[in-house]
Amino acid sequence: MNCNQIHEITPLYLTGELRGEPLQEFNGHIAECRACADNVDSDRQLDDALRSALGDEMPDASAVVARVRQQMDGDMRSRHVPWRLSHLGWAKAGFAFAAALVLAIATFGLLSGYWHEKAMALAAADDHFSDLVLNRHSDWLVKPADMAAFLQQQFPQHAGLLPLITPERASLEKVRLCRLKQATYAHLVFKTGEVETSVFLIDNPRRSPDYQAAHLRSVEHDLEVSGFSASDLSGIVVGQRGVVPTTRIARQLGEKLSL
Amino acid sequence: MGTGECGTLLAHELSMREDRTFEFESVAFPHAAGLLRYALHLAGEPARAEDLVQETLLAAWRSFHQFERGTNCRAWLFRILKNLHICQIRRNPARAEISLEIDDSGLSAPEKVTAGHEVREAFSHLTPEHREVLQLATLDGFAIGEIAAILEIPAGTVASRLNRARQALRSRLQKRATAGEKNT
Repeated sequence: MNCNQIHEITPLYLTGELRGEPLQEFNGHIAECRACADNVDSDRQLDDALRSALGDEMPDASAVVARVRQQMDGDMRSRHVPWRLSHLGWAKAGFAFAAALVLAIATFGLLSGYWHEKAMALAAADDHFSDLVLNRHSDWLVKPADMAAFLQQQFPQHAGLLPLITPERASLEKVRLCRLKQATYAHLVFKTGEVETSVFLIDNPRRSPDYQAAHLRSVEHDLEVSGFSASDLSGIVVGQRGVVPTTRIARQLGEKLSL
Repeated sequence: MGTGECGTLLAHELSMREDRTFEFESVAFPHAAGLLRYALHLAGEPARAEDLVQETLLAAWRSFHQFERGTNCRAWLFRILKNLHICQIRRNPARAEISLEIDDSGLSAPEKVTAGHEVREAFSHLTPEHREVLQLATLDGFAIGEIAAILEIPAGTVASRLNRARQALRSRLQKRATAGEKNT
């Protein structure tokens, strides 16, 4: 190892992550090279100084923990209902449902479609949050060639699909398959600067033109969801509320895919 | 299904939920103070930092069924906090610029020149990226790979950023020391 290489891996040495042969080489080098040994000592002293200046003062988090515990208790009692409709409150939805039961089977059919859209939208938003905020999945494909092959494999009848499903000024960051309810969707994450937009895509299983604009909002995750449907593809767009214009993106994707 | 059977199932479910709560509290709450310190560096204001930690712990609690036992809960919590902070900044870009300048107007002259204060001040003048990696590595004791996972950047970038952060901190301290010698 030369001095530059020693400099590059000094952080690993200081965090105790250097092991085996590289550690032996590192120790061998600094035993003979005074300049590198001084640099390592200097870094170590700097870390110690930083720890004693800032590290001893651990803030008191007991008030936050108490608040969290209180909300957890509330969750347990209410069995945690984290979502609500943005357009229609639960009370109104319940009333509408009751009225539908009384009115007719046709109305029931409409509501059934509505609840299906809502359930799918909530599942998509949960998946987006789970993937992008909680980092629960590691099976993402990130290489352009892998992502292209994935799209070709999942949607073989749609050559040149990527430009059609890419929102304006965004680029495809990663893809994976996911299960939303009982259906398998392709989950594509697009990035515009630092902003991430999820597009869930499936060969249209319902072929229903009513799958438009299921626009729901999560109370806690602060996400919004919009759906679109083209002749043989359906999709769900999820993004942060007020940041990602999901309704506009969904409408544009629906239009482009229908051409 | 009889009422007795229903009661047994309900008792079983309640017991499972209590176990889950206990497990979550055991693995997550010990990291609350560390999370709060990280949140203070990200958000600046104590009230916002506390809200961020609260939001983080609740998000983790509500997704705890997805948490794989044996994986790194602490790094997972820090990652959630970082992501939620990014979400907040996107919602309100005015919050992005957090000043960590130390207000030393209330300190007497001897206190201003303590070594600890100089280090704190030099640290506060580093770029947010440099402060962040130094805090995670030096104060919170995360490994390079864990920091890479929290910040979603390659491990090599973390290592080089740490090198540059230490160099910047050292250079600032040396400048202060030189200026101090000239004054005396």
